[in-house]
Amino acid sequence: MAEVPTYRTPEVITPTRDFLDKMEEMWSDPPGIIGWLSTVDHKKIGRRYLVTAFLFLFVGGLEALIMRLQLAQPNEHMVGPHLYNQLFSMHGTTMIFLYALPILSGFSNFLWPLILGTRDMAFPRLNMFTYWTFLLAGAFMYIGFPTGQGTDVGWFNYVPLAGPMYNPGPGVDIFSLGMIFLGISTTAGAINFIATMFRTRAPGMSISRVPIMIWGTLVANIGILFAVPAVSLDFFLLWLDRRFGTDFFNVSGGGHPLLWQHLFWIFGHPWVYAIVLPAMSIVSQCLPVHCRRPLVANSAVILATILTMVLGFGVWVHHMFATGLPVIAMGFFSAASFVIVIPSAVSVFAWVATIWTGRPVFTTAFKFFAAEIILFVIGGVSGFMTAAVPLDWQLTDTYFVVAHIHYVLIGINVFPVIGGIYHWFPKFAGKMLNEKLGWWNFWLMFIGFNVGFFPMHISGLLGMPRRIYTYPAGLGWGDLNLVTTIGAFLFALGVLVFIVNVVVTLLTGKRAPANPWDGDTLEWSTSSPPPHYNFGVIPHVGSLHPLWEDRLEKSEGRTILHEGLKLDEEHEIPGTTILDAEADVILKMPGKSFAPLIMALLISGVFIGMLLEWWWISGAAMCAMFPALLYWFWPSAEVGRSPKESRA
Amino acid sequence: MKHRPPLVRRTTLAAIAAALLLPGAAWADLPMTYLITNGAAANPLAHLGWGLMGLSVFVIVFIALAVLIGIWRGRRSWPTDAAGRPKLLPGVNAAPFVVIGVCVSIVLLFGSAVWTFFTLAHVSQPPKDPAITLDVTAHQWWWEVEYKHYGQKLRTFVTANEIHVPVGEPVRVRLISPDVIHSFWAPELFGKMDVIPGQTNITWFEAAKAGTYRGQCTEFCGLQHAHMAFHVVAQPPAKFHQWWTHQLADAKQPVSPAAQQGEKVFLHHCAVCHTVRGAGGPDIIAMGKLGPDLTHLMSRHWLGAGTVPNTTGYLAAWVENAQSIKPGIDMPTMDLTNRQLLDVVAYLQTLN
Amino acid sequence: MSATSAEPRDLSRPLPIGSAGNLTPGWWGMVMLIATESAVFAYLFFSFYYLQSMADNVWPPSGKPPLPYALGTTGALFISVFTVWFASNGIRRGIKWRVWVGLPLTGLIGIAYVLLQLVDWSVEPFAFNSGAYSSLYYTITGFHLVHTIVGVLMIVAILLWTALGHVTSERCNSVRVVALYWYFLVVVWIGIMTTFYVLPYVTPR
Repeated sequence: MAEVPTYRTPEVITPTRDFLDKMEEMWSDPPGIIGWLSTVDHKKIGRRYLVTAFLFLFVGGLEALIMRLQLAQPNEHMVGPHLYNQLFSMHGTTMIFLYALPILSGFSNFLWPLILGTRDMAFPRLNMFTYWTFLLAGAFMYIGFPTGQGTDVGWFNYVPLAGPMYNPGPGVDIFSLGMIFLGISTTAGAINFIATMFRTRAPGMSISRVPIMIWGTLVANIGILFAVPAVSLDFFLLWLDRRFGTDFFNVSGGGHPLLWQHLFWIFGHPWVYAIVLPAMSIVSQCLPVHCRRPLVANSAVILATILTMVLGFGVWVHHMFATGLPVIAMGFFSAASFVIVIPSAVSVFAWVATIWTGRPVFTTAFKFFAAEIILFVIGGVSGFMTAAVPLDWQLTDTYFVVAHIHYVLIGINVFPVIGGIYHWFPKFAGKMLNEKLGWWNFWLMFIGFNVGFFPMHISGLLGMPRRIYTYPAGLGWGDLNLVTTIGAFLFALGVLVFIVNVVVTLLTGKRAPANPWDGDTLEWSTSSPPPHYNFGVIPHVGSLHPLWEDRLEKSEGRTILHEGLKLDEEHEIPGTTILDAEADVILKMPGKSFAPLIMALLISGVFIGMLLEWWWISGAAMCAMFPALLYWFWPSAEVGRSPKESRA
Repeated sequence: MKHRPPLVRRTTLAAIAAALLLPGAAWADLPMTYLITNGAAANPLAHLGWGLMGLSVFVIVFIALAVLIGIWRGRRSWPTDAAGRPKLLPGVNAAPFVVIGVCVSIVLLFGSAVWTFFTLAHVSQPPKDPAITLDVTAHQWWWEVEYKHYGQKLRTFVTANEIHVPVGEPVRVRLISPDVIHSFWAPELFGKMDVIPGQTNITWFEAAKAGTYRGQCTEFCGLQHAHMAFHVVAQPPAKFHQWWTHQLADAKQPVSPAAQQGEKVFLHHCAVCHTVRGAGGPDIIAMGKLGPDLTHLMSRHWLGAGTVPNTTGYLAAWVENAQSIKPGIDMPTMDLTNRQLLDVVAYLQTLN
Repeated sequence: MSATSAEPRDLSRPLPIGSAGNLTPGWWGMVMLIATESAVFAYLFFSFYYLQSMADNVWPPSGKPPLPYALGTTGALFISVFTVWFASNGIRRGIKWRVWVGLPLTGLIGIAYVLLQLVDWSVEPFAFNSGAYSSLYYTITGFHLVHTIVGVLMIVAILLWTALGHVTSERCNSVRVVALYWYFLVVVWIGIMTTFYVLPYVTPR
């Protein structure tokens, strides 16, 4: 094709001060509220995700502490069953949906373009849209709770208890619509991550040079793409049952309550991997930096990550072993659940081998990552025990499972997340978190967590069912619950120290150097915090460890950072091929836009109308979406013309 | 593994467990544990549980030690770079370590899976065809128990929240839910089976020795899920037969004047929801089906599905204002005078 | 894979600007949207077959469904596969008038499909809430209906942009992407047709 005007040959330059100043101005947002609402900067979005998810963690944590006070002794009357049931439902919902994935989206949004050596995500406006919808959906899910109308049937919301007959109040409607709303955000985010991975890596970052943190998040998001529809649909069908009298789950109309459970767990189990695989990949990425060597068996760990997600779609029935299924079916799902342990073992042994053959530096981040290995194993083997069908008939729905889920979600999500924040705080905020406070932070959290949650295994083995608001004396549960409550408060204190550390550091901390830990990946080649444009010239990647090449014995190639393609006509990044990451196009990225916020508000309108059954609001909001989307996708006149033309 | 483990082994297990888990606590005080069991449907599960738990503890200790030793090894002084960090260590190939670890894991997993499948096959059917069939209906938030078959006999009666069974006889249980999902579970005797509307699940159990075993609903079923317990009373066959015959009989006519007054009160205030077989006359009978059958109320040890013991004081409190004991249940606060309350309690206490 | 280290000078070669090439971000976005929407329909079909397998009575409870409207909608959608291909293939080869023929025709067929489906709904003997089968029938066909309306709106947008000169043979991805979405609609319809109209006639139940 010879249409010259649509082509350009970018020069290769070494950026000068003036050039960088120009780039900084080009990529920065206008000041004030306008800039704040219209930005599409992935770093700002990432930080907003981190802060918002932490606020939800804080709220969910407070709910947990109230429950722990109620359960500290037998026959307590601090809160009644009505409030308690809302507390545990909102706690589960908040932690699993509004904290665990969004916090990882925060990491990924901030870090992906930096690690991939580019300037933005593939869809910057969609990125901003996912944040607004997450925020609004989170707020939506909380509108009932302050007035005593929160959902009170647990986060897995089994019908018929959640159906119109046994739960007519608005709590379950809010939860159902909120979950569909949040699903839009999650799915849009997943699409963005996958497109970013396959389209916008820096030139030279062939598929074998993609750092492991990217793989973990990528695999999780591919899983999300196929898992989230199941739960969105499930909640939509429930909403139809509740509002229009349909019979999906209604026995007398030919429906079946187990349909709910199948759809929910087809989503639910992959979701667990969606919220732990990215966190595990944070460990795989950062632990080696603090061990001063590359990760052992990097490729095997990546393959294990992929295998985990694939198998993760075939084990959902192990959440339903007590529902009276045929023995053959249970045997199959039990076997699949045993097999899924194998890829996890790959990660664990790779991490241990990395510590053994490395030269560990005992930073706070390292402590969190090393602790994660142990907590992961505890959470893993308790999962392995529940995979055994007959044993699961005893374990399921007791505190043993509560202990398991907390070792998984706190051990494999919260610990790597806090460690990751110590690790990447120089990039997030340009400062170094205080290591002395970090010591207190780690030990309070680690000891508090184990004192609090390990005894839950035992109260489970002694037969304490989950989701009971009180229990009688004389069953041997009282002392264990008291210990759990004490541990929970210690753990909360640890989280408080973390928050204090962040605040103190932001106010008084010292400026961080560009690469304080001597990290190996591209984000450490930028300043701390990175400039708005991330990279003055786009790097050309030569290996898996761009910043360690001169010091590793064998390195396949050399990364070039100091000179590269001059892409400075508005927001430009190179698009690259899937496998070899050869630049094959100059992508024109959109700048600031109000379209994401408008769309998010319109979707909120749709859901608010549905909740209140004010159909005209929903209808009006849906109609308004068409012009809003036209505005969003309106083709840029710049694109498709030569630079000369567009200047003229 | 058909028989329960010999006494020595059981005691040893208990001792180890007590030492590990709960110093000073006696297993007798742990009525809901499933680590020490008393029935053919639960014993293989307990063995599997101990086995997999032992393996799990071993794995945890092994990996934790590996991490700690790795860290301890790392505490030596390495050659440092300009910033004072240990110099970067170029690739030492440690992949064989991972391969060995994964291979050992696969072997252990395979063994566990085989053990699991044998256990599953072993407990999925009772050792012999059960002589007794029960229909257990789980309500929000109590258990209705209907005795169907007993040997060749086909006579039925209904009771609530307390299941009597003969020792050494397998019992088949059909699980029915008219409202939401519950789960039927008495850990010392059998693992959970969900009670699901629109589907009748069948399970079985067999008590190995006489005693009272506690059970509880374990699938969250609403406001009073916490107060939905039941008890299984295992009795020697002769005693069970005696109990069964007694339960078949109608309630005796009250003798004392207070109880006779109480029956009238009962028939007017309570009979809409509760059954007492044999109460009343030709114009009014007590055949209500919404609440538990009270024909032999005083043969039961608990009130409100294991919520409070069946004593005079609790019984009176329950009749007067059950909502204060178990808020949210269907039983309304009864608008009775003191006299009526005393009479009706006197009547109820004749229902032995 | 040519993963050898490249000198930076090699990089300096002419590159197309914007959404050129086949695998544009827009294409990726649409492929993934289709993937996740396919999952939605897959789970809807799962629900259908699961409830059918658990049902006590024969499905469909109200007897075999009437075929004429369904055959009409099926025929219309099959024709639209050709019209939308005609447009997207044409614009790739620089023949702009084929967009002006293919896309409006596709849009009109889409609207005809929607109307026909609404007529089909109005003649069904059962209501939305008269049992699990009818709930599933209206929900699944309703989901497809909404997706088709979205497809028609996409076509309207593309025609608008074509009129304003934003769609050329080099910048034709919007047309390709919409065509992709339209093929997806038709594939889903084949599943619906099979489930609701064909299987009741061929299975002995």
